Amino acid sequence: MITDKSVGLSEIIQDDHPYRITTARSVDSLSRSVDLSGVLHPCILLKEGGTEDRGGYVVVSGHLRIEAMKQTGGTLVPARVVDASQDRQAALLHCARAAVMDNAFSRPLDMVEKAKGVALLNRYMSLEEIVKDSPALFNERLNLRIAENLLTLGRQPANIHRMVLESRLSIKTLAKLETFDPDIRDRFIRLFQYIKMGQNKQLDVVVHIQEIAAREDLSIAEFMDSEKVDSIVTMDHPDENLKSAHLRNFLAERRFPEKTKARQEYRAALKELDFGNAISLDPPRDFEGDTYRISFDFKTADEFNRALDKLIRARYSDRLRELIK
Amino acid sequence: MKIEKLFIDPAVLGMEETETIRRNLKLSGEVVEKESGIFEYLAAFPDPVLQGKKTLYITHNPGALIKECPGTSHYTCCDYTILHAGTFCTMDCSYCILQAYFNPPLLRYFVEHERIRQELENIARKDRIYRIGTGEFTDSLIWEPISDLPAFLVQQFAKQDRAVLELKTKTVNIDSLRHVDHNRKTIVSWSLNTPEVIRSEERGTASLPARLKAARKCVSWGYKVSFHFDPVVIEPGCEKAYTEVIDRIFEYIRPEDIVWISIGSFRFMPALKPMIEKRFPESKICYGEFIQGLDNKMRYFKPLRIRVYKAMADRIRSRSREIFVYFCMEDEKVWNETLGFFPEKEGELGHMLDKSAAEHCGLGTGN
Repeated sequence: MITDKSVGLSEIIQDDHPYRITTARSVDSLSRSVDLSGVLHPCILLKEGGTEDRGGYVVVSGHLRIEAMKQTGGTLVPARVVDASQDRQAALLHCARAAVMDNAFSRPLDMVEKAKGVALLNRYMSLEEIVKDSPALFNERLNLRIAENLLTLGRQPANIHRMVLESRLSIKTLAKLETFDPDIRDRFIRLFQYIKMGQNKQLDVVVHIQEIAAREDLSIAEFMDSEKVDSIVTMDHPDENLKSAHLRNFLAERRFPEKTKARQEYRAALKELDFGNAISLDPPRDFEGDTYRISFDFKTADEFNRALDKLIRARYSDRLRELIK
Repeated sequence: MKIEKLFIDPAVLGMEETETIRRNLKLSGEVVEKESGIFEYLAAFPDPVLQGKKTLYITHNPGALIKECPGTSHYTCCDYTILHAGTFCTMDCSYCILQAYFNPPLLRYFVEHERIRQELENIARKDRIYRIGTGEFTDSLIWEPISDLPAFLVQQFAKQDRAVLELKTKTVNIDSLRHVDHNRKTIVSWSLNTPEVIRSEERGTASLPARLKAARKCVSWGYKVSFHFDPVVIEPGCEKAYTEVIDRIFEYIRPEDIVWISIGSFRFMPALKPMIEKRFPESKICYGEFIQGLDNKMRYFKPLRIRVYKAMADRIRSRSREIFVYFCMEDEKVWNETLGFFPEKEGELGHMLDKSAAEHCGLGTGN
């Protein structure tokens, strides 16, 4: 079923790469290496039928090596050729495994590569089987939830893969977005193309928008198209962190109006105590418990005394009593 | 929800309670050696929780029959005692914690008449008052159409004067209670909500008027009743809706027949949220203004709770100042701002409820 041979570059299919999981594009360094020492490790190819104008070998592993050979003018590729003519299913499974393992055991895979690997293997194996064999396939142990998320990602188009690689979209957010209609999913994708934020913040934004829409009897699309959301998303400002903060503050206020109001009132009352920046008086978390916490920083005995004076003055303040009621 | 599938533990085969249920369900049932076989059966359905409501397993209770309510830290508990007579429910409330409590949830009827008899004899010898309910892990009266459990319990409690039984329900399955000599030792209790919440969140339960009519019938049979507003669902306009329900109670029931009314707002373990979102996609119940409570359960932002509770408590008090109103799992600030007092000492709320039970039901008097 497997033979070692040299295959002409012209016999290799160039426009269809069902086994490609690597996300690397540049082969400059590899080209110099190939130019210097040739291809050190044979590529893995799957022998298909082939026609007059199309080669008969599909690349299973070694996409970058073949690209580097093309750049350096090579013509013959050292290869291990898998013949699928006898037992096609077994051969295809072997190729899927080889495509993943050849990459996973030579370097750490990025998220998209793992995802593409899971999606490729899932054509021939169940997710449970992939999880079970994951140490041998991926050189790391996957659990079922991670494998499910990776499969979701692996089935996405190239633009989504790019966003994940650029940390514009987290795999958890993507899994959440998959629960929506495609139109809504695409709206969120566009939102995260405009505004970059961390994984947890991204998920919060999705959940808040979904829940605000439900609370206010709006569709998600209606809410996302609203003037306020649109004005934040399309704000002409180079600082994405600022836009992200604006959006999250707006959503938190709309999702938790009473809590936001209470916080604002607390801050306003605190300001009147004139503690300044050095002294913090923190309310119970979400105003649920009954324990307040006071803390202050000082570098010198004078600073310590000044803070203490402020606290002593505050103890007779009606404002303080109102604040801690 | 109709019970479609019956499994029987070989240990209870041929026992009278088992045979009564078989007869009433008109199902012969499948004998299973291990409960795990039933879990596999349920797991094969697209909604195992829903299937668990149609699948009954008759067995013994492998654990304690009488348990103290676990309560929760930081919030005041009513010190209720649970009689663990069965699990899960044939009705399908979106907010039901039992969906996530058992893994997977399944209707279980415990064949334990003899043990219950013995436990009650022990309780009758003790020098304290017990408030005992079967409505913690199941609805007390879903069992009424298929078994003699509710009537049996009423009869057993009637024989002593140390404990009162509270049968808590959202059904109107009361017929078998009619001719039982209850000796005032049973309180029939309804969980109440607004018609809107009943319609949107409490699938398969009786309507509000039906519950109140059933309560009135029980009163006419000499039973005392109680009501539980739990979960109160806080949304715009809910104060008016809940106070209207309170008004309706008094259209049906005289204040002196009500032993107590409890109020508790919707609270949930975070793990319940995805379950509700999956099983009840139309429900908005999870999207209230929740914060993480001190017991790590999600609960409404405190000022919202206080606002609604105050409106409800004021309305009840405007009708009667004698009815004992209490909160399920609330803190000092909520009690003080809504009812003007707080049962501060450990067990104090429980003692107050014991007192109300004793007065209404003749406990500890040798009656």
